[in-house]
Amino acid sequence: MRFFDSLARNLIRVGGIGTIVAVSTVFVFLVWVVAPLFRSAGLGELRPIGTAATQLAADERVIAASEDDTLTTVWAYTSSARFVVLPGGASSGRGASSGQPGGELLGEFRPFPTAPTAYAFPVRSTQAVFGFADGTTRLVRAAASTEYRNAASMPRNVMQRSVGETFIFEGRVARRVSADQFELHTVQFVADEPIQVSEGAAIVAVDASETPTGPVEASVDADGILRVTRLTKSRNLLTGMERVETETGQIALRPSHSRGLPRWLLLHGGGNSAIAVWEDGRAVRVDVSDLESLKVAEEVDLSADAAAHLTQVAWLNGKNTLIVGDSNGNVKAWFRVPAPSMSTADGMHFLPAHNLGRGPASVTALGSSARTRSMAVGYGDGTLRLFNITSGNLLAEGRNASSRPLSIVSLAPNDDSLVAWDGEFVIAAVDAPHPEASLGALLRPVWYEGYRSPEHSWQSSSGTDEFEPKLGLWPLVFGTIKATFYSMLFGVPIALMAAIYTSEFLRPEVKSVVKPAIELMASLPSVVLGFLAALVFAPVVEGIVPQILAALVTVPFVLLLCAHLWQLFPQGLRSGMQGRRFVLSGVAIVLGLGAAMVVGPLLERWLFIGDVKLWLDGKAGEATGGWLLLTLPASVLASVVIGGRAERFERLLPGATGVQALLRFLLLSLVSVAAALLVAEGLSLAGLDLRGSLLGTYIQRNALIVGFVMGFAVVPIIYTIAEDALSSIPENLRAGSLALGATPWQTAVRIVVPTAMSGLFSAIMVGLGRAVGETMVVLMAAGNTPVLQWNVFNGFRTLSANIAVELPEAVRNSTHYRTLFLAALTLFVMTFFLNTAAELIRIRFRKRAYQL
Amino acid sequence: MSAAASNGGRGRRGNRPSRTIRAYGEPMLWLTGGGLATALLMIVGLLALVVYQGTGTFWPTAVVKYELETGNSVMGEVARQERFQPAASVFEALPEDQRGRALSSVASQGGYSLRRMLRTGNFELTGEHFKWVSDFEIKAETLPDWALVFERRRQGRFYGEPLAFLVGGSAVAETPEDVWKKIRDTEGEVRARWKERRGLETDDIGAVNLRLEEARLRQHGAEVAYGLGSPQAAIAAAAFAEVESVATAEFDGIRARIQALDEQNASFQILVRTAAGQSIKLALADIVRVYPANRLGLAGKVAVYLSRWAEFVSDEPREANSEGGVFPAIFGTVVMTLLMSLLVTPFGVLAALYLREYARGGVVVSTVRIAINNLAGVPSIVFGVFGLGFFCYIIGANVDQLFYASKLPTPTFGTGGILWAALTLALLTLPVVIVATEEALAAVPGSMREGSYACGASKWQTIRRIVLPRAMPGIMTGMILAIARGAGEVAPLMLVGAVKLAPNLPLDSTAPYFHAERSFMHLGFHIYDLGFQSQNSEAAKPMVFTTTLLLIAIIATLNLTAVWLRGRLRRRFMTSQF
Repeated sequence: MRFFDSLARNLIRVGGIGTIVAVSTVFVFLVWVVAPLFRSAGLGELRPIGTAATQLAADERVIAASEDDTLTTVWAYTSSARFVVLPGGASSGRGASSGQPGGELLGEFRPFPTAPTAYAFPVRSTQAVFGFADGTTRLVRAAASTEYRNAASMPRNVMQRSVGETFIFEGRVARRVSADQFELHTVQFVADEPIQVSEGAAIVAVDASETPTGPVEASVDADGILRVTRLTKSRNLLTGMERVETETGQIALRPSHSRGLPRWLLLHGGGNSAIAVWEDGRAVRVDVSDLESLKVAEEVDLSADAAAHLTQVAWLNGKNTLIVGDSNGNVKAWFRVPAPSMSTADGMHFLPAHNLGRGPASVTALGSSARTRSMAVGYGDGTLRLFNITSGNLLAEGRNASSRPLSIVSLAPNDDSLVAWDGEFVIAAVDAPHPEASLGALLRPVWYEGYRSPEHSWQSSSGTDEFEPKLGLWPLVFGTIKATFYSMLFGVPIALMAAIYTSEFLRPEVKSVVKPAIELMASLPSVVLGFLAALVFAPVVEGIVPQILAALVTVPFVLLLCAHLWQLFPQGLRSGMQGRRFVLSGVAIVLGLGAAMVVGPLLERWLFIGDVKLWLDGKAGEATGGWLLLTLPASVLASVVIGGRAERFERLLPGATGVQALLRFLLLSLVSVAAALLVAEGLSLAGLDLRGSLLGTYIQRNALIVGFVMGFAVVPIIYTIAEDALSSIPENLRAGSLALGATPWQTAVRIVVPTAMSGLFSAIMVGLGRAVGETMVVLMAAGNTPVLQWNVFNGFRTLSANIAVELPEAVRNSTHYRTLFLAALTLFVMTFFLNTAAELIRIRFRKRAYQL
Repeated sequence: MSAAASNGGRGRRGNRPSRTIRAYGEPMLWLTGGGLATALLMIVGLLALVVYQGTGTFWPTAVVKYELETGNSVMGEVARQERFQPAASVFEALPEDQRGRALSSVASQGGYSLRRMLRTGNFELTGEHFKWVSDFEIKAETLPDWALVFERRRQGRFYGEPLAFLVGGSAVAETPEDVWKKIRDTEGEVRARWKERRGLETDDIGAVNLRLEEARLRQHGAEVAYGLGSPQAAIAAAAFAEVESVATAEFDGIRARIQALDEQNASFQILVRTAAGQSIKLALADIVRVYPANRLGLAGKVAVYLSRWAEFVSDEPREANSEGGVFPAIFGTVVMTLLMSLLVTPFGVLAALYLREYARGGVVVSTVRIAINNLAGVPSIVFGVFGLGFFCYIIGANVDQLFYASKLPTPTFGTGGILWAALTLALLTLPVVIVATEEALAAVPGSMREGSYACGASKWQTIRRIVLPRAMPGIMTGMILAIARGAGEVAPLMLVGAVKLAPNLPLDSTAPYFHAERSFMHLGFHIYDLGFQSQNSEAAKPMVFTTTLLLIAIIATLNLTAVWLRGRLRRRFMTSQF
């Protein structure tokens, strides 16, 4: 017996504590997933691979270098007009220890009979473009190739290699991937046929972009002529021959003063605009969208200060943002934004959007990431910095051990590593999994590429890798707040009034039916509410907007009017119907809705130029109607306060007390409407308009619909908790109050409600928590556009709906994935705090209620 | 309106009748009563709407034929009608001679006209399911006596009048009565053959495919484990080849049988004339239900209505879920919810027992209690996020690595599935069960425990024999509330395994019978998907209403059971005090 007892005790203890711990893992796990977002990036030690002597000739400089995805090979283009292939970071480290010469040249490729006069190595694209003295250009493609070999086909001596080991084999980098498989990595080059661009003048600057319609090349020749060439490849289906057609447009670069030829030429990713840049910072941007007529769009000065000259200019991934570095170490990011007054030829304006600050020495190298918006910058003293351009954050900083300046910096395609050249090859590990995330970037306005100014924006994904993800959480938080605000605006008054009536004025037998009925509303699946909101209510409401607006006024008015009329009935009849008062008020509500149906169209004709949607668009009509939405409640409130005090005035009215009350009510209503109209008219005449802030263009799925339908979710929760709080007020308090001559209404308002105030407050908090986290209703009925408008008639996107839409498609452990987890964590923390606060208040309240 | 502002403390003013009438606060009472009435109107209105729309969907309506002014005829069922204000461009499209008439008829109604949405069906001929017909377009309206409504497996409904019943291409009946009789006579056998064919297609071919897939995986597994050229791999490859040859032979056999059934069924056709006058042959095998809408008496209508309900709850969906039944969704919901309650109840009860009976009171326990309480208020989508990240991507991925490595990179447990969905919802509903159980435990009076101890019972004996039986209705209430909540949740399920269309049920006749990794259909998700993502949302709307009705009915039943149980518990608790 004792055995069972202790067994049960232990089992229950373990199970109970285990369950509680399991529940708390939800929070821990969310934090665990989110945490890496805010971990700072790391940059490994910069270490040389091999010596320059074994790789290159003494006077040979490296002009461009790139590491492949597997980090096994590096290719470089040198001043001797050749491409060379070397073992990469992954192989050299191990290669040195296993006795392999890390700097061994694996291969070379000399595609050109004469040395080129200009070259460009565009980001991301695996092709480079070269210009020559005879006016031709050539494209060269470099592609990493991997061959898989069975162990059976490999010689004996390599079979002793362990799995994962890297070594040089037959002039390629080999790696054993499994017991019976080897990978052989190398880089292969293909040079296209030369294209005659200029008639004999040497090419001095060149660039190329890959557009959806084919490659586009831009070049400047020694005569200062800028040319843009579109290449169209067509394959003859019969012969299989490939033919390249070219289409060229040209313009002479005539800068305002003679400065010689531009040092750089940069072609936008879309191939529709080219920028020629001189070393002193002057730049001419040419609109090349129409090859028939190239136009100079604008001239800008890219230099940060007059004392410096530009040393490095390079595109960021996507070729829309230009990174400019100068001899003082300043780095800035420029991009095109729509010009405010279409003052340029293509309606765009080139702006310095991000200032990445001043480095320790002149900028010697820029290396753009191929998958994120990160940029590695090398400085003259051997410092290396890694920036994220979107957020402008410095991610990591390192220093070359030899302190020699890095003249080439190139990030590997997967951003795991970088290769640099300071006279010899240097590599470093890079650990920046979430470069675009920081608290500032997630919550503050960010200046995204192509935007006129820093903005809050959420736009998480797109088809291409060149897309700049916009992970501003504020629009989603705003959407959540907006949904909550409008649903509480509708839900709280109804729920509280219903609770007060139920607990104080409803007969117990009616209450035992009414309360479960409203609680049943809480169990309605929110998907049902969402469906009804989106597909049933939204189309109906769209057709009766003025009626809905009118109902806000007519329903309370008719209700009060009926109450005042009811007071005229003989006392006996009234007390007989006491219990059914709320049924009568239900009838009054229906009457009020009916009145709204009549008044609505009149209002539309009178205040909203006969078409409320046209009025909401803001193009026509006066602002008075909109202001009434605010001034009417205000003036009603004012007249209640003033009218309540104007005792003397009442005696002047004729008739019995009931009639007096009715007249007073009618008079006050009239006065408040008149006052509201007057103030609204005044505000309208003053030129103020609510359209554009609280009101605006009507969208079918909007905050009004969500607010109403969310009421179904929020009302029962607030109602139940509030009613419980009110009912738990001890009966002796009520009895005492009534015994002292107070009416039931006075007892309710002055004794019960104040005593239960904390309970009511906690009810509202719990309702708030529900509204914040509600998913299906907002997902289906809010339109899901992340806009930042308080407009009742516009949609929004909440944190919860956003998670539901995007998480299934988010790549696991990507920045997007973790940001969505952050959204979930935010929701968790918000609701947890709300509920805990509510619970604490409720406990305190309960204690007090017991003391009474 | 003014009672709140009045200041009844001073006697001098308190005696005035106008103050007395204000003290009663009648208008304010009406306002608060209005709040309650609004809440009730909302719930009653919503339920009435769902019930009206949901129950009305399956009622067969008359088939109306309209001869239009343009000379065309359309036939179908009126889905709904509304008054609208025709734009001027509508009239310009009309021929010269009708424009005047149309304009005057519209003008006589104050610029409005009545239009009805006609479900015209015949999708393969017209390319549309619905057509708006306005009053002014109609020349004549008739109810064709022999208009048949065909509900088909593909391409939605068909409306037409029967011309002949064809067997093997030759007409055996040519009057509508005879055709109708022939249809009634042959319907059963054709449907039986179709069912047999479907059984062959899904079960038999599925079984062969399963064997084939298993053999392939064994081969692949051997290759991964022992290497590509190893003897083990060669043995597995030989085994696979053998299975494959057997399977091919079986496939051929099954296909031959299917073809034979198809041929037998193909010989029965109905020649039908549409409203536009086209003659079309419909294969009887393609037809789910056919009835002469305008000849049905009340009994006939009820029969069609009931048979549609039967199909709805027992059949699989057709036409991108917008027709047919929701059986897989009901089944998925039930299985998932049961699994969830199996997971949540023991743990919830354990936790509650620990908190109430074993843990020593104090700050920690009351903090834990508050925390548990508050978890009930954490948005469900957060649990979905947790389920996806933890169950699917971490636990599931590891299970795949360990046990299903041969199937990788296709995930088995590493993606949403019914087990993960049930676990997620179990976590979500855990607070409900804990709170309800705790309440039930607390409601057992201390005197009973003391009595039990006094009789010499140990703590566990007291809990098992005295406390738990008394608390059982409360625990049941908690469980039912958890089930009701679980059955209605959709947001987390969207992340952890509910799908639009699941090819297989999570429970079936192939070993291991219960497939915990399978994704499943769910009534709530079905509503979301149909109402929100369906291309033909007009055609889907009635189905959404019926599904909604079903879901609400299930949840309301569960909740009312809980309320009833709670009432019983209270009564028992009350009597036990005396």
